[in-house]
Amino acid sequence: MSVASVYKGPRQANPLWAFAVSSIGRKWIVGISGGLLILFVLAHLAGNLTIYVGPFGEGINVYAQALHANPVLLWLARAGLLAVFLVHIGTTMSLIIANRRARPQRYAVKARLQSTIYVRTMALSGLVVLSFLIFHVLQFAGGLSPYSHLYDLEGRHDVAAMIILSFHNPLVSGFYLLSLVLLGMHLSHGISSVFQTFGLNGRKSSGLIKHGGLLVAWALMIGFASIPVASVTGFLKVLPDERRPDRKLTASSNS
Amino acid sequence: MNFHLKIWRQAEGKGRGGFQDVDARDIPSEASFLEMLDIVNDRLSEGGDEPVAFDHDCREGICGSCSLTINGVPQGPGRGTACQLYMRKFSDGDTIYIEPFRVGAFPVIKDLVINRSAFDRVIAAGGYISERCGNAQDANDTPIPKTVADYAMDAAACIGCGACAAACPNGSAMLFVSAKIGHLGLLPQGKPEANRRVRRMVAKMDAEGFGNCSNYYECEAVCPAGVPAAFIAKMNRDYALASVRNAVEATA
Amino acid sequence: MSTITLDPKIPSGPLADKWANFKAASKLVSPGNKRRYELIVVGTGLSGGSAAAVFGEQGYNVKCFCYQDSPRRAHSIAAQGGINAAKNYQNDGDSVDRLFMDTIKGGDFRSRESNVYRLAQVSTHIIDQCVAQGVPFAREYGGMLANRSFGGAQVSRTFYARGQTGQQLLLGVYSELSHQISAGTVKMNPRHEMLDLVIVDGQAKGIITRNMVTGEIEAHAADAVILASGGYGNAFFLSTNAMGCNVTATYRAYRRGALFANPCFTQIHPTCIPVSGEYQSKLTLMSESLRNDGRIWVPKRKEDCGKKVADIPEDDRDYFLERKYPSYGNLAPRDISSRSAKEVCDEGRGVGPGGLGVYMDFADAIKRLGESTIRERYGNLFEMYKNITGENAYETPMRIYPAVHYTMGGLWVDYELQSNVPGLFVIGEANFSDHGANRLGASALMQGLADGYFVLPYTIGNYLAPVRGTCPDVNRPEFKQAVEEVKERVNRLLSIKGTRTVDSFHKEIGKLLWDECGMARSKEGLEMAIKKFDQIREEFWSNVCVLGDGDELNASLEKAGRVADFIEFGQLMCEDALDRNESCGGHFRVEYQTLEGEALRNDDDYFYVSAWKYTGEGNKPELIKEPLQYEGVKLATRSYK
Repeated sequence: MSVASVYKGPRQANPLWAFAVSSIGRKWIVGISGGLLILFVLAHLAGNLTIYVGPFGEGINVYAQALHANPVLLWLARAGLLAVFLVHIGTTMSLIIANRRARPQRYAVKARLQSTIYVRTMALSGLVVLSFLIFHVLQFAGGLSPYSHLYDLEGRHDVAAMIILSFHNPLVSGFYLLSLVLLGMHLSHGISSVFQTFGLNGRKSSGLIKHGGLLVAWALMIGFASIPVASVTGFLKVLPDERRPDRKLTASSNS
Repeated sequence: MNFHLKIWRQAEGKGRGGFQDVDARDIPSEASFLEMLDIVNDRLSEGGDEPVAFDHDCREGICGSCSLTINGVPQGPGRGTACQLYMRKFSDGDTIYIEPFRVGAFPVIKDLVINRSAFDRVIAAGGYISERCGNAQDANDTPIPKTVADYAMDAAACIGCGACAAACPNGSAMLFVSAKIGHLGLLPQGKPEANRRVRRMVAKMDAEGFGNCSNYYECEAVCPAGVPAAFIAKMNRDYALASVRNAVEATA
Repeated sequence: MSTITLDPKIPSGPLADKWANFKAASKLVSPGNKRRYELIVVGTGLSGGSAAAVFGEQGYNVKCFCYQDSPRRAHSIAAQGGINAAKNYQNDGDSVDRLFMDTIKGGDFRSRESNVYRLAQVSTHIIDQCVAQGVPFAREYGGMLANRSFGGAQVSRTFYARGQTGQQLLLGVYSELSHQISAGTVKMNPRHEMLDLVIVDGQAKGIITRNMVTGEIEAHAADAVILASGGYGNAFFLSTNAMGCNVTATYRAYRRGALFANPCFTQIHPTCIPVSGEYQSKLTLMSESLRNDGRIWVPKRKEDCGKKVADIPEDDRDYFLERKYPSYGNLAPRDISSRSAKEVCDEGRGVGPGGLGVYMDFADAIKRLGESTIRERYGNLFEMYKNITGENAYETPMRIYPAVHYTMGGLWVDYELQSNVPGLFVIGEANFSDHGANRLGASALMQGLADGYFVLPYTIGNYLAPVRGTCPDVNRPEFKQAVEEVKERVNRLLSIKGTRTVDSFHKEIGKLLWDECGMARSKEGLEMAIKKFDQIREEFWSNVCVLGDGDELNASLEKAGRVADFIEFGQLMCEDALDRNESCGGHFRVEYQTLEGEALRNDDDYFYVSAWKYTGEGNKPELIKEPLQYEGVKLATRSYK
């Protein structure tokens, strides 16, 4: 008797599809996309911190040049990142709608037992971070910054100057810092949640994961926040205009 | 002691319901919360008012019939069920809100009485080990390490009251469902059908309209049996693995 | 003269072979025919739930009923200690014979020998079955099952799951039942209360229920009816039973002709938290294990009762159990400890509110072993005590008092667990068969599961095989009439509109039973109580107040029906206690005691089961005796001095 003739029971919906639309499956999708975004944030921070290399932050210029070396790859990566964002947000929205339906009537008295402020503000912190991201991308990657056209001594795009000078504007650095705090909050819940969703959270490791997640989230936030702070306090310096090869485009002429 | 109660009253069926103000005077501090309600009900009856309907049975914290949310906390403040809550925990003159568990999948039957049969249906979907009563092998033929048996017992201790779903802002029943999946899945006797069990129970849980876990962990905080949320993590993993295995088997 | 002779249908052969002989000779229903039978099971505790699940597995069509919102909440769930089985895993000399002997002796030689022997035989299968279905019993580090010892036995044969053994066994039953519900063989009807039994041509063929949500009165027909509706401890109002436990299902069957056996055999547990006031709704049990380290005492003088414990010097304390029973001391058996506590309280030396309590003092044990050891042993119990009473038992002694806990009596059944009404089977606490006049700890769970899993599925065949195809139509006049009668009763309760609450009646009969038919009973007291019950019944039916309507969820109406039955049943208990002119087990008649105050059994005149036949409302019931016959056991006096 051939294997193919063995009866396997009635036809079911595609098992992977059934998983993807289930409550837990959607959690996994949010978790996987969130996990990828955490990895992206980590890589992004590593890139940003290269601004501390060189007297005028040339490290980040080198990094940016390398990043732009292959436009096809870069755009593919950007498209992928965008897709991950959309999946993360879209799936979360579908869960929020389902969860509202599951709890149609609220209590007259609200009590909070052990849920953290982070989990209760996930949607809000996510939305603020999202709006910041749009501004952030337009400002730095989209070339809308008034300091987008500076070049360093080696003729590289002077990304460091663009960043540092932008942060001299208190509105920009203020919004940046605020968003970072919210990102820190989002990740304070997000990182340990990824472990919970993937089932890597045991009864003994749960404390470690919870506190480790918090630590990583706030370490990330401090790493990012150090750049505007270092810019405003003058720790990070911009290549002086008089040393720029093309004197027509200087930092001061634009400001 | 005297209390000002705001008790949820809802007529049978779909009525919208609302709070009734009741003054509970001269309540002994040694009375349990349900005995306080008994006294209130006796006085309501004597005054010709219909007593408040609420579910209760064993009054020793194990049957899981209690379904009261007291001042926003399912099963009331402190560990344990509402029947194990004593009035001395409150202060004289307190205002106390008494509501039913509010979960979409637990419709209100009357006043504080809710219909929790969704839980029974989730268990019927797979919360068992398929074996026939008769000549089972000797109980000591399969040794089970003490740590495994104890951990399974942590999950099996669930009393099925539904406070987890009632405390969850998402109306999620994952602590309840994961406790049964964890209990049976940890034991060697429950492993052969573990994959099918987790897939069926999760599918039924979703179909019953329970929400999804956002890791608030409020369930863990109210659980009268102290079931840890780590079982939800285990269920998340078990479900994903079972789905992948199922997908592989479907194509093989 | 009696119209009924009771045939216990004890199989032939030596005691040890009776069950095998019975099984070999019993009739079977073929697998293909099982689906042509309808069975009704009332109650979803250990016995009812397991019976319904097994019948479902075997292919019968089962309709199962419970008053709770889910079968998982039946009161078996509250059993704490454990379940006995003659596994001899401890190699300490346990055997089927020894478990049998302990149970017979524990029951003070008033149970049916053959039933008890079978119980001991199947006990070992129960543990296998439970482990197979995933009950997480306590284990040793090597992975083998752990045991603890329990009262009334000199071996360690009790299996347990923390302090929640009943819960875990019931959840095992519930999971198996749920499996059958999903398979479609069992149709579960939660929030349904059985209000009558329907008899067609002399056989039990259906029940009448009230849907407790909609109030609908429904008729259900079947080939056989199985009652697993538990005990009647709530007749006393205050007991360790769940609030909903009631006698209605068995009492209604009694009114329809089933015999009620040994109703006066009730068990009173010595270590419960005392009553603290009038409002109290139930009593909470504290594990008996506390008596291993707690010393029980009251002040020697009445005047000291109100004093603080610290102000009562050692010399003014009366450790009455140690004084009266020097060899067993604080570990004297349940009935004896309970009675001694009552005696000192009757002398006015009780402590706490109302003088109904005795001290259980851990000061010596704490001094000897240290607080941490005591905390390790009993931490959860001390916590529970503190939660309920607000007192710290590490600093001041606990107060305890006896409370009604279990009822050994129940509907009369034969070896097949069938009542005298053909087609009516009764299992678990609802029947009378296995515990005699007193039940040993950890034996109730054993009996419930034995009946449901391993006895009834075999014994029901003898009745079912010949009656195939006789399940009546619910439109038959017998059903219609029963429905009308139930409706009429409901309407009558609602239409009285008197001035007294249902609870006030329940408390009144509870107190009456506790005083006159509780731990100590006397002829005068019982005769007075029997008369009093007539008055209470009359007042109830003319002055009870039941609010609300019949066609909705109405807790007062449910309760009113139950209390009405408790009133009639309480009188029956007193009749039975009055008839039994001896003291045995939980039944202590003050007229029948030794000079030292010990129970005086009378095997010459009372070595029988008292089965009572209903003869109409307000009439004295008729006593039918089933003489006991022991083949393997010699009668002996219990002594614990």
